[in-house]
Amino acid sequence: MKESIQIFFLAIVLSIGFVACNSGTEEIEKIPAIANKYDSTKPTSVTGIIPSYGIIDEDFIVEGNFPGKLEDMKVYFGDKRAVLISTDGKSITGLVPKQSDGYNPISVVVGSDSLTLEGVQFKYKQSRSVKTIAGRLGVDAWMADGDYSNVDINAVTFGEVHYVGTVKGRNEDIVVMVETGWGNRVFIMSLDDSKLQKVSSPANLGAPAVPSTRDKFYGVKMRGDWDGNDHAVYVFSPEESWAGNPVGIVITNADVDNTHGASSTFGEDDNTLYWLDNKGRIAEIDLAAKSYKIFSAADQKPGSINPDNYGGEIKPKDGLAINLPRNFGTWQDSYITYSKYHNCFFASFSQEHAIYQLTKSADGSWISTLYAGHNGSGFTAGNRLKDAQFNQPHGMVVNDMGEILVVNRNGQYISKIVGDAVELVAGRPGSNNPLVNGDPLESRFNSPRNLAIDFEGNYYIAGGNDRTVRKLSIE
Amino acid sequence: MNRILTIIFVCLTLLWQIPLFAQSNLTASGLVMSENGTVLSDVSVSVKENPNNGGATDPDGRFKITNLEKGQTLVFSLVGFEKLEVPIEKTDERMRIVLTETFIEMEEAIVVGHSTQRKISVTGAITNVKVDELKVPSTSIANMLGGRVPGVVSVLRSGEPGQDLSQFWIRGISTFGAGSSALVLVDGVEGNINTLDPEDIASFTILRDASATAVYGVRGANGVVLVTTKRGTAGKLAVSVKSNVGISYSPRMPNYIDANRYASLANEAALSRGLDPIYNDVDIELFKSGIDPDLHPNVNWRDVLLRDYTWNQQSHFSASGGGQVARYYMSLGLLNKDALLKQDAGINKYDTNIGYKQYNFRANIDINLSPTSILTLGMENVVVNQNFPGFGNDSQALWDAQANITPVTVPVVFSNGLLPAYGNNNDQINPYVLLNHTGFRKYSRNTNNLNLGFQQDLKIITEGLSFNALFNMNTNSEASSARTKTPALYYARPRKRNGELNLEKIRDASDPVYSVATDNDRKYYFEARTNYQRTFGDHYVTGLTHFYVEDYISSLNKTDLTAIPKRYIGLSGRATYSFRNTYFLEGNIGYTGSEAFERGKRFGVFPAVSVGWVPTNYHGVKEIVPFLDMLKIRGSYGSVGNDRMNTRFPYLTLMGPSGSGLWNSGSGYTETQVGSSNLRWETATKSNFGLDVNFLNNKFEMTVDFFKDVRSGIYQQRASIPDEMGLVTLPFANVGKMKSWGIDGFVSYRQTLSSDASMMLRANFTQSKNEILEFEESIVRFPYMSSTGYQWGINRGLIALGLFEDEEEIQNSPRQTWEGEVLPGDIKYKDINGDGVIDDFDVVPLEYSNVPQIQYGLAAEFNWKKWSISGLFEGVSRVKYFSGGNGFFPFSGKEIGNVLDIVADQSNRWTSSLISGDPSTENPNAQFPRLSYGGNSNNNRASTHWLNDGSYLRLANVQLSYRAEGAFLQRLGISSGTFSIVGDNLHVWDKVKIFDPAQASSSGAAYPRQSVYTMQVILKF
Repeated sequence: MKESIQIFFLAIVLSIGFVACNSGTEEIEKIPAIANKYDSTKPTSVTGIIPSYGIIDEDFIVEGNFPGKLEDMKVYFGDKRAVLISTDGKSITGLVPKQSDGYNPISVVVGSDSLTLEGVQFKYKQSRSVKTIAGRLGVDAWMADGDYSNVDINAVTFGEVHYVGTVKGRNEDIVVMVETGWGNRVFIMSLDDSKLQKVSSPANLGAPAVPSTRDKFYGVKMRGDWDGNDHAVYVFSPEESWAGNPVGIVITNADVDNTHGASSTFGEDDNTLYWLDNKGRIAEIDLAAKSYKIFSAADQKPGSINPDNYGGEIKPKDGLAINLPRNFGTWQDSYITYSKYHNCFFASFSQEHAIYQLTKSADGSWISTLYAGHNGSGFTAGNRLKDAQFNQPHGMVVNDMGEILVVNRNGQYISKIVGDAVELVAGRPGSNNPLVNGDPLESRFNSPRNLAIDFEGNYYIAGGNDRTVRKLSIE
Repeated sequence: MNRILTIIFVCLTLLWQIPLFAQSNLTASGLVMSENGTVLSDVSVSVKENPNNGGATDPDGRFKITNLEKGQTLVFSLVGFEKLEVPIEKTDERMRIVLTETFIEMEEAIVVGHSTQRKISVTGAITNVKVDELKVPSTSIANMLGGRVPGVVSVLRSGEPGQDLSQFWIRGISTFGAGSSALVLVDGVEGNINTLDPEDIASFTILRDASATAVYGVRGANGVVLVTTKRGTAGKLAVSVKSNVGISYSPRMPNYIDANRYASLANEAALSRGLDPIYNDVDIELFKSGIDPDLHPNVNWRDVLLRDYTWNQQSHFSASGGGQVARYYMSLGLLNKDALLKQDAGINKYDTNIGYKQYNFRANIDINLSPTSILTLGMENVVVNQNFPGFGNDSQALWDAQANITPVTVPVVFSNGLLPAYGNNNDQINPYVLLNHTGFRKYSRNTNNLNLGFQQDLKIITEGLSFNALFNMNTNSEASSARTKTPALYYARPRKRNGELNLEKIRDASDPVYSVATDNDRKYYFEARTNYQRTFGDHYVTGLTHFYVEDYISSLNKTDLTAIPKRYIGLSGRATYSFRNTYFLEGNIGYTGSEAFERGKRFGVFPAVSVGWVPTNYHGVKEIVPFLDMLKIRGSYGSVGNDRMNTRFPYLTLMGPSGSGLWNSGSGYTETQVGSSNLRWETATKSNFGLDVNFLNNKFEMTVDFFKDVRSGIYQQRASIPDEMGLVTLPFANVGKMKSWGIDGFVSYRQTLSSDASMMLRANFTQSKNEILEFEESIVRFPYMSSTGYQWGINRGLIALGLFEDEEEIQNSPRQTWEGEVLPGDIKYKDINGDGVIDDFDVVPLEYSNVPQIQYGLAAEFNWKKWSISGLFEGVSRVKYFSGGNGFFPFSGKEIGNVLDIVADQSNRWTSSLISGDPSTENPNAQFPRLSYGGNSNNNRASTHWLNDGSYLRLANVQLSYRAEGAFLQRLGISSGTFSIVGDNLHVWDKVKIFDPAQASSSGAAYPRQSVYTMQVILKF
């Protein structure tokens, strides 16, 4: 019996230590619960906002006494509703929406209550910034076609993106990117989903042209001087999964003398596509009739042109030679864009460091007028004709205020023509180092090529040698 | 683990077989023997109640007494042995009576190198540690030495299980060569002090001077720790069980500021340097309210990562006994410690906590082959199992991360479930992820020691001569395995316009991978020795000759050269003489060979002599100073060697393939090591002068030793050879020289207060200073830049003159070169060399190193009846450290690096009145200078401004015990039970305050030293 008790005690004492236990696990509060500080004894109220001034997308806090859930709350800056993030019943936080520059009243809707913040208005300041939306600044890392499936948007790299366009997306626009030079590939990027997709496309597509419906885009094969191909016209639409389909129109090399044309645009209607080659010739493409007419300066008329496809002459205004571009270079792109504010087209010729205005006269011919620059290469602000300097102007876009933004490829900057004045918008003329984003005038570009505008007035810049597409926001 | 359980089962099963207590009768007969199994003849056996009945043991030690009555008592007595009384309750004709030798203090045996000596005749500096002092619950015996043992300086830098092992030096650091740690010998062979179970220790001795260590030759220069383990004694089976459970917590954790205060201070830091504020009002309000935890988190990472406390367990089981033929001691020990890390429930099915488990098994068996020869077998098996979280090579990533990830850097988890990180570096990944989402690693080590010994008494040749031989095989095998993975990690950029999180991927997920690495080593050791000790009237002589060989290979050595077995061979001897226990003379000599040197120079002779004198053995002295019970004056002088270096065979010039030939003509061969001729041992010339004093009826006992150690010929790689020599590598040479000196000792006082009460006070003290006498280094511009003439490891920095008060003072001061702009509130430095510029040439040796010069301990014990309470204070002084690093210098890593709450206290920092609006915040005596956002190379550098005193006094241990005996326990078969509550590291008095002073230089990026409360039960059956 005693031995049994001994063994029992021995076992008990030993088991204290020998049955070694691990300290186990416990529940860790990973996402802290937000306490509800709503005071039901007090009326619903809005008492303040911080900050009292700011720019788009900044955090704000509206203070007061708010019952209910975040889903039932709305905060307005003027008539713009803010995206809300969270509330604890005593404060609501969200993001400052884009709104009118200057002072805007603050109102809060909680369920059926609508409250306005008395005595304080929010001072909205437009902000400008450049940031990368696709590609990596300065990283020249060629990706194979297959690598673009399910690729992380932050990991994408490009060869060179030369052309951009924007079409309508779900909430935000879809950005069309044409990687060329060596790549000859077309991508679309959904800003809604932060997804990038390579689409089926022909080689050597030029800059996208977007009709007023903004539901599709067109492109014209640009190379004739290089690959000898004719310039077929393609359409890309969501119905075809954005795959490029020929529209049945091909501008023959014979009609444009083996040139290339990087740029096309729509004018007042969505049936006529205007294509510009690098000798200043314009093709008016009738999408419905599937035909085209070529217009050229008298000395640029191709000898081999089919007479049925010849539309007429491009003449210098007032017969002055300076109104007609002469210096086209060999490989350089020329760009065309339409301005509904000026009711005309504008064309850039990089070797002339100048922008020309193109209008169609009553007799069916085109009139060309020097519009800005032609004062040598560089950057000079000031009067568009007397002072302004461009440095290899490439892509252009006209915003909803009638300002013409111009990409200066060799100048590494973006300038704009506002009325009769030329101003610097982004980049530092002549400098491409260090390649950075940020404040537009502190940012740097490296041989930018083209730009496009979205429905909100943001610009997308085909970065060329900086290997990206970047967004220039003025909001 | 299965193996351990099997052993337990076998032990428990065996216990059923053993009759523990006998029944009664009226005849008593049996065998009388000593503790080591020698039969004792002529032992008087009498009956206490009937002097007419009795007898004596025959030449075989046997006795037989009849006509006994129940309740009578047999008395066994023999000169030189303790009298033993045995009550008679029944007839027993197989009695085994074991007599214990009488303890005479003068004859007390002290374990010394390769032998034992009478305590009175010890003339070297030898500390014999009382084993009971080492029986407090602790991870390692090394942790018990500091403050308890004179002559030892120790530091404990981590509280992490498995890393909470003290580094210790005997008499401080006395060389800057490759090895400065002591030689640890367990049962005569090199062993690991950290895996010894204190319950297995029979004796613990520290040899400090040349006289004591000379017999160890090239291995003994840094002092020797001698441990012997328990062996069985003849007698009935003795079973002992110890078990304890401890609760462990961090008494000091760095307090970092929360998100709101962090943001406010970050803004002050930015504004102080003309930068825009880092956080706006909305950010600060969101940190306060906590309503946007994704982008405005407020995380206390200590709360996320650490529990408040954790449990430790330690158990030990031993059984010993035996008889005339054989004696045994076997034990089983377990130590289990888990870290404080908090694992998230439901994430893993495996353990990612840091854990340390140690299992010890020991068996010591002595077999009497004949009356004069004993065969001994010792087996030791130690299994260490450790586990860690998966990330990194050690757990340091966790501590770096928790010290560096601020409350605002990232949330614990994003609200969409994705895992956050700031960057890819160790200290940039959320520590919650590091602990819970990176898999786990395991480490296991199995150490086996086999000792086979033979002892032969050679009295057949001459009285007092004996021979011993010992063969040891030590093997270690270890395996490190890892099952690691990393999840995809994200950092939050400003939200998308629609309010969704905008997460940038910082790190791609990696699939789980398994990796394993195994290593093993093996050492053979053989020694043979003869010992002689004999008394001739008033003369007492001893002698020793000792020979050993050693052979070591390790799979860690993978090159053709390093894989060659490492071998030693040595011969040593000792002779001692004493006259009337008053005059003592001792000579030691070691003749040792090391393969580190070229042929012809491999052997070295290390002689040492010591003398002792005990004047209190004169009657005259006793009459003049009657209160003086014993005074011994000792002195020793000798040399010891050290051959440890980081290079094998440095005397060889080696050839190997080169990268490319001339004009890229292909690879060729070149010298890869330039050999050094005439390399010799690093030699320690040690001298020691000591006093041992007992007085006031031996109530006071005191020992004090003064020592000096001059190391010459310390190996150093040459640094002053000009490039023009064209040497591929710089050779080694015996060029360094260093001296260390100091004092160590103890004083104790014992007092019996009554028949039930006694007390003991004890204080010990160690001071060790050192100075570099010669040091191989490149030519320095100013003398103070040299290492020569200063303490090894001395803190070096600038001399700070306070904080600049205004711009005018800056303009009128020498230019400080590290920052483009120096502002009021920045640290002002002294221009040491007077060149008008403050730069690295003004860095001077300051004070002390981060290893204390002085370590001391104060112990007290009070016993009353069955109660006992003891306490130990341990302290260090003359130690300084630099504060610094991202976790200390506020905002030095910008977004990385927590900010201590002492920075938030305005009285501790200088703030421009332009920011605070209050001139008084420009406090010239502030601890923290003008803040910077980002590193400030003017302020954040080693200087007297950041040099702090690391001295402390620690209440290291308090133990309350109750010893229970009596009929009740007897009925349960338990002879005694001791129940204790032990507190370890209960309080520290120091100037550091925010960290444990021994860890202060880590600035919080270290597992905190723990306080532990332990409940312990010891049962003896």
